[in-house]
Amino acid sequence: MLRLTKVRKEYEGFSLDCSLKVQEGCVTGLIGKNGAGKSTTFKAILGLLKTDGGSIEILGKPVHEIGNKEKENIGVVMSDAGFSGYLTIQDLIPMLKSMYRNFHEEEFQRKCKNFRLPMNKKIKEFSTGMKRKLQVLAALTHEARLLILDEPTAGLDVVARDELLDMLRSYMEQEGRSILVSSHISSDLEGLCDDIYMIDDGKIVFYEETDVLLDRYGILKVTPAQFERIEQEQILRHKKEEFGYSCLTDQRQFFQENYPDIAIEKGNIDELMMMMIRGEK
Amino acid sequence: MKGLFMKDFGLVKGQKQFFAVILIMMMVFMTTYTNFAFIIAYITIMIGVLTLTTISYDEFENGMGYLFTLPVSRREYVAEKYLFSIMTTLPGLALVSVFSFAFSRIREIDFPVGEWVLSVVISFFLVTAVLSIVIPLQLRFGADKSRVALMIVWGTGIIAGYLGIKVCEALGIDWKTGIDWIYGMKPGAALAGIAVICGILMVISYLFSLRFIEKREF
Repeated sequence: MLRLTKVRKEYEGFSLDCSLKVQEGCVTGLIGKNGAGKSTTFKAILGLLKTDGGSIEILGKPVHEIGNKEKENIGVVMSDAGFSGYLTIQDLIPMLKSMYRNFHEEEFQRKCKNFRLPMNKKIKEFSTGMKRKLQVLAALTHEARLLILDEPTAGLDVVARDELLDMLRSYMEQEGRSILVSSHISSDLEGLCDDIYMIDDGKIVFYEETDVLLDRYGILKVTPAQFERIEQEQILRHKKEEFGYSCLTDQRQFFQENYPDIAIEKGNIDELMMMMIRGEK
Repeated sequence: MKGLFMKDFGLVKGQKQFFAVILIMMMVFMTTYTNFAFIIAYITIMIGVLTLTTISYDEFENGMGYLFTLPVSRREYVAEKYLFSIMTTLPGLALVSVFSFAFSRIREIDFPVGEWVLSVVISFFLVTAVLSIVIPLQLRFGADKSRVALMIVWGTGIIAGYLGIKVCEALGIDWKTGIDWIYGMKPGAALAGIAVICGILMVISYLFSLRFIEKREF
């Protein structure tokens, strides 16, 4: 569905060098701290940036060959952009109807109503969360095959976030669809994504299937003495703490079986990200 | 492209205050002012500004980048802006021209048909020239920076004109004969000439706009 191969973009003080793949029927997450390169990656995929190298393929076509017909198969949420604030939702409906052959007007209106989005208020008067909901609804209601969602849950309250994630799960029930999503809320990704990429300083530093990540990864909390005697080759990253060390491993079960005296926490995405970025090899 | 027109007419629909101001100004000018040629040009340019306003509104909160993620190509976007400017300016020009003609007759102000036609044609040329310069500047530099760029272009134009006159004088060329020649042209030839110049201006402007928008990153 989507493939980035060694995509490069150079800025002063920042350089993106990214390869990733979103497979059909999969939800792929992209995580990383602020400024890591998530939005730059999304913009490169969407053709909003001129890349300095590498290749991007969307729905089987190079990005520069993507025309309006292909764009109808893509739904987008951007973290720092949206519909013109001077329009109302009522203005958007005829526009979206003209742009997308498969735009479901009734469904869009019904969902706007469910999310309590005012139809005749200018979008610039919406809260961040409302703007985000509107973009998500627009992305979901034209039978897109691929969703590219940069921080779709940012600014949403817990209930709205839950509703939105449910909508994304329902979207994925139909075959032949995929999502690339970024979020700074790890629980969103844990419950939604099939696999996860982590980006740091413009580079992909980690990739794993979510099930594997949650089943096999763990954080060991060890004293300096314990740290000296554990198998270092099974440790991906370690970080100095007041009590000794936190160690990231992808062999949690091994340590549980062989070191019953060591405190082992189940890995989650937040801790993984922290260890991958701040930890030492 | 239909979707872009829907968007722009949606944006214009929200400009009720702008239209109210234009209408009030037009009525005040028509009933109190005697220079109808100025009124036609002024109101037409005001209406021409609507297209520039839609570009500013597209850019609001980086909205233009998002727009290009929808089924909208950059080429279509640029073409639509020029078509939209024609679709809004021409009816505006027609309306203010008809009103000017009617009010000049009602108020018994000397405004011959020949002068009226010339005013309409010159107004059309002026609005075309303004939009042909400002649309590419706005697409290249954005709403804020394009004002500075416009001032630079304007200043450069004045300096170039001044230098041109000085060079003509130094070379002993009487540039005023050129002006006399234009004034002496038959109305049909003048109209055709201005139409061709406007067309060329628009095409050159479109090509610049396209180049700017295709290079732009969001």
